[in-house]
Amino acid sequence: MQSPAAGSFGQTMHEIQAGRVDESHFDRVYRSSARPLLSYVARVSQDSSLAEEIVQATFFRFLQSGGPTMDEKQTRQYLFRIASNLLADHWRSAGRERRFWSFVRPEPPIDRRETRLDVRKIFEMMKPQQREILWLAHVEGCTHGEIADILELREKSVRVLLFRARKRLQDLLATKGLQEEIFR
Amino acid sequence: MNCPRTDSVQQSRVHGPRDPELEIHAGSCDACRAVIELSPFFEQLAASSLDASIPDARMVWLKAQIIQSRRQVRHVQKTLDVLQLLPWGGVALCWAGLIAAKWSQILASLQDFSLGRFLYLSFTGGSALPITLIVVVLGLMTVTAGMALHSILREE
Repeated sequence: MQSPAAGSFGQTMHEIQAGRVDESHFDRVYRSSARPLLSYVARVSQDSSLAEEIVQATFFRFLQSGGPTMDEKQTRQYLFRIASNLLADHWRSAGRERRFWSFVRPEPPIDRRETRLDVRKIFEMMKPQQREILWLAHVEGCTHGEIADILELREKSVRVLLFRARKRLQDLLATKGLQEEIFR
Repeated sequence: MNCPRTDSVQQSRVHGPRDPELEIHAGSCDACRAVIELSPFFEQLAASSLDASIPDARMVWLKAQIIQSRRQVRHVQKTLDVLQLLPWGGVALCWAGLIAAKWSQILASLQDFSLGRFLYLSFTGGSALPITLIVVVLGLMTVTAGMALHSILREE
């Protein structure tokens, strides 16, 4: 995990958890965590406006929660966990809606001959859970244990899922002929 | 399929410093090599532009305060709703107490009840039930009707 800029971050977290944080303290927490959180949610959800909503909701929930005192690292994990849970809730309700509408209006077939591919497009081809795991591991630099904690999975499962996700990503890159271009 | 050192390889790639020993190991380990091979992909992905933007911290703070205030208002409202049930409980208890205390008289008057006799007694000023009981019943009926009216008006 990256280090936040604020020096007294740990103390701030304690104050927030105790429900007596002031605006300047919140500002520091927000500035250090909001951007990485937004990147994570936006890349995983592939929806910018949804990502903005989820990040705000994450901070609302965080402010309202009276959880135990946490250090900087735990707090960051906690924020990512809230965001991941909110994403999962969204996907659950979106899935129900999609299933309902698929009876009325079948989805158009996906054009497999898409040629304009970049790293984002490739990443979008992964399953949502694979995107979460890969982002947390490769961009946030979380350990397997931290990922397990954020996504509420077992550490062993994370290891296996991460291995499969990497394999799938490598296969996708190879299939689309982008491997050399990206690794150049 | 998996290597216990992938976590270390990945950590050294993201946070640094790069460990030469791990890099050598990755050369002969498929799982660890995948971590290294995919690093440039994620560097590009993380650096790619983001359409989303975070709102100002102050705005989020104020929204959170509003949400918190609303929650408190809802909490107070819920307490008031519970408190407003108490008079209803009191009236119900009065009715129950009255019926229990005067059950024998009520039963007796019901057994002898006939519309003709009731009307006769009403016109002549006589009554099968004591006047105090009738007053209490009328009082309770007034209170019950008043509370029902209050509840209806409050809902509207």
